[in-house]
Amino acid sequence: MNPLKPLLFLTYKTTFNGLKRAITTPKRLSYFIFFVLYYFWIINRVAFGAGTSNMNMPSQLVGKFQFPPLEVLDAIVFALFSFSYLIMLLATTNYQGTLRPADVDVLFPTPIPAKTVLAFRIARDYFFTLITPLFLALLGMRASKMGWEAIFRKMPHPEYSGIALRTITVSWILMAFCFVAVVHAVGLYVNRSDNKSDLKRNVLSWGIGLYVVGFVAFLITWFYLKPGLASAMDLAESPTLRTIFFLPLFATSITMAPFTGEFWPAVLGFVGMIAVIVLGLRLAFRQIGWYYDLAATKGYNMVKTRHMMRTGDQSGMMAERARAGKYKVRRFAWVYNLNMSGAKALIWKELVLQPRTILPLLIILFVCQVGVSALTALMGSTTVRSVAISGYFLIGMQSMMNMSLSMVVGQTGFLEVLRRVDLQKALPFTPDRIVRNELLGRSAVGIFSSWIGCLGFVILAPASWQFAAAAALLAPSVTLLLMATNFFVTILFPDIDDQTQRQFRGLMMLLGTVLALFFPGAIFIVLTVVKAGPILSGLAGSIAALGVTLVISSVAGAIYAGFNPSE
Amino acid sequence: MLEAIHLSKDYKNFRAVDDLSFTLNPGEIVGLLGPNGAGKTTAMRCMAGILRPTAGTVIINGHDILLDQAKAKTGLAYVPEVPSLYELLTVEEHLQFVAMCFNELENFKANADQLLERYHLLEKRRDLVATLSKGMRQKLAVACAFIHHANVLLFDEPIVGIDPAGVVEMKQEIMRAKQAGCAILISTHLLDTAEKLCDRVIILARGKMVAEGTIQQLQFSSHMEGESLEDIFLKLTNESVEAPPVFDI
Repeated sequence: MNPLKPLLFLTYKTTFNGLKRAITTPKRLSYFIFFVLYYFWIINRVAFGAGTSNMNMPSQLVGKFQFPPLEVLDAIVFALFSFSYLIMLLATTNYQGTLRPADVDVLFPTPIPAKTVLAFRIARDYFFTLITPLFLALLGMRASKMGWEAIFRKMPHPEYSGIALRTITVSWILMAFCFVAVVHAVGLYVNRSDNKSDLKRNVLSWGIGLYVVGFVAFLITWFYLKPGLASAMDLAESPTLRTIFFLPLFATSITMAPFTGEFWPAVLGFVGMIAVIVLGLRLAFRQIGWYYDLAATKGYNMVKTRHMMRTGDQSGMMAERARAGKYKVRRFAWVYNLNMSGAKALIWKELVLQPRTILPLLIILFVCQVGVSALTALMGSTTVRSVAISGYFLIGMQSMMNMSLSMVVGQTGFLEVLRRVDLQKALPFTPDRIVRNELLGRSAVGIFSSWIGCLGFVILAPASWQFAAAAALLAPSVTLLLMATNFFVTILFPDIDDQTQRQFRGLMMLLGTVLALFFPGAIFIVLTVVKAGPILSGLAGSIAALGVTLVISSVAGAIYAGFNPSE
Repeated sequence: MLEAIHLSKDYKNFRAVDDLSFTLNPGEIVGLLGPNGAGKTTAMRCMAGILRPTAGTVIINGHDILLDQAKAKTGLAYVPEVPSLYELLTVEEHLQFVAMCFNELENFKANADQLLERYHLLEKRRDLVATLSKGMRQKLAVACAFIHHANVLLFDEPIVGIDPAGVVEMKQEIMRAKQAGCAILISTHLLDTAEKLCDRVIILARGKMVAEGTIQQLQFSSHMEGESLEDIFLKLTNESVEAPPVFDI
């Protein structure tokens, strides 16, 4: 039997069954329809201009368009290919395998030759490398249509416009193939489970990193010393640069042939790119003995990590790092000294776990929150109007920052709550209490950084103390409200593996946030309009937010009580 | 039928399997025993052609797994400890996929029906693997091992996660395979199962083989006549834990 047949069977059946599953369950079907309609709406708007009125503007400019000198066009094309080449270089040492755990357990022990599996994967990766820019091209087609028409109509040899389009496509196809072939060859060389691979990968990664950073530094220096278009042209035509960036040079030669009428450089470029592809594939296939080993040891973990990154599962990622021995446990002594018994232990658990999972993000958000408060304080002056503007700006920015924080903390944390449902439900607390303490634990950092921000604001702008007090009053309840909304939406749409549900959940999260903030926000605005003063407005808004939080957390608690992760 | 020759496997600077050599004969069940982290699964994965040995090789039905992988794997079936299966294939499609890989589509329908009935999966044949329970997945993985005519069977903890009735059936299945002349290697923690089921056992500790033979041979060589396999196992593995590290790179 042709060894490709089982692989085609597998691809066809999993795709078909996946689609069938998406449309045969009413719940999944509703997500699927929503997902399709949403993207159709985006594509329809962006690609086909539905609902926009200013799409005729480019046609007015077409007449005025002057075809750029060929040297300029050549430099632009070379720069674009060089940019994609640099991006490609940065990804070279990553293992690009898209193998699943089931491939390791089911496919690898079968007699299907590893070479066939690798060839099939390369073809699949190549297809996806090609399809993404095509999708983007489709999205930008209408917006750029007039521009393309102008270029092709006014090019030096308009009769070659059809060929020009084809050579651009061929250049991209070859460039993408070079990328896939080289990445597989290098990935198989530096990601093995043997002793020397780490060293090889580090040397190569540092080499590439230095190469890219060095090039960027060179560009900055060049343009600092010789600014202007003429200097850019000099640089783009530099033989040294074109030798170093030989792959973009090949692609440029092919693309430019119909414009310049010079076909020999294009032939040379074509042969050069084919040579790179052949060499890359040859090197990849010569290391075939490592392919399964690499997928079973490294690729498997990378696929899991990538999946966790897609789903925002920070806890899972850290656990994976810990399993690989790449994680150093952080201990904060003050947390251990806190006396938090009973249900408060859930808050304590959060204070221990959060720094272990998302410490860098928490630091960034903390710095942003304090920084924004300080900038807001510095923005205002001593006039009454300016004080009020900067004060309300502070309240708005604090809420925005708390929203970001709740998204970050909530996304990773609440998935973990649902995953550990069997463990936590067995604890001697009511589901309501578990939910409330989970919300408190996750809000602690947000509340703390808000208060620090408010304190900084008062120090820098003492005249605005009332607004800082209002923001400090609003911070706990608004943070709790946003967390509660986040949890409520998460428990309503808990399937992290279903992409349509994930997308749907993201949209519902935004909608839920708007709805939840509506009532406390309205009270705050009304009281502000009737000049009740920032502190009273903040207090009333805060009480309203707390009330909504209690309602949402009670409903979420009831859902949590009946939540079964196996369903 | 299966011969491991000086098999070693390193992960970075850690040696998971160290110079493992043994032979698995037709109609024989050999138990691969060892504490957690002894290297049983790594050894199994090397024998199944999933991991590339750092040194040594495995010969299956006369074919070197490194040099002639396709032919070596033709007679091999491997059931992992916690099988990861293709979630979006149905039970029947999963069997069909494995049968296609082993070029065994002839009489597939009849063979599949027989296996699905034996493992109580007949009613689930059109269900996606994603909907199966842990035990059912294990049964499907075992069914996949028997859908082609393998004569070397590698089972990594085959009865973990299966209900008692399933365990009995599984043992019967293994005995049937033995009677049919298959060579069977079972990695297990369950020493009483190994004692009852296996003709011979290999005990691994820190990647090294610390003992090999029938229960009687192990009793004799460890001067523990009349003792159970559990006692022998604990004595041998404790000794090896107390011993200096097996390998340092």
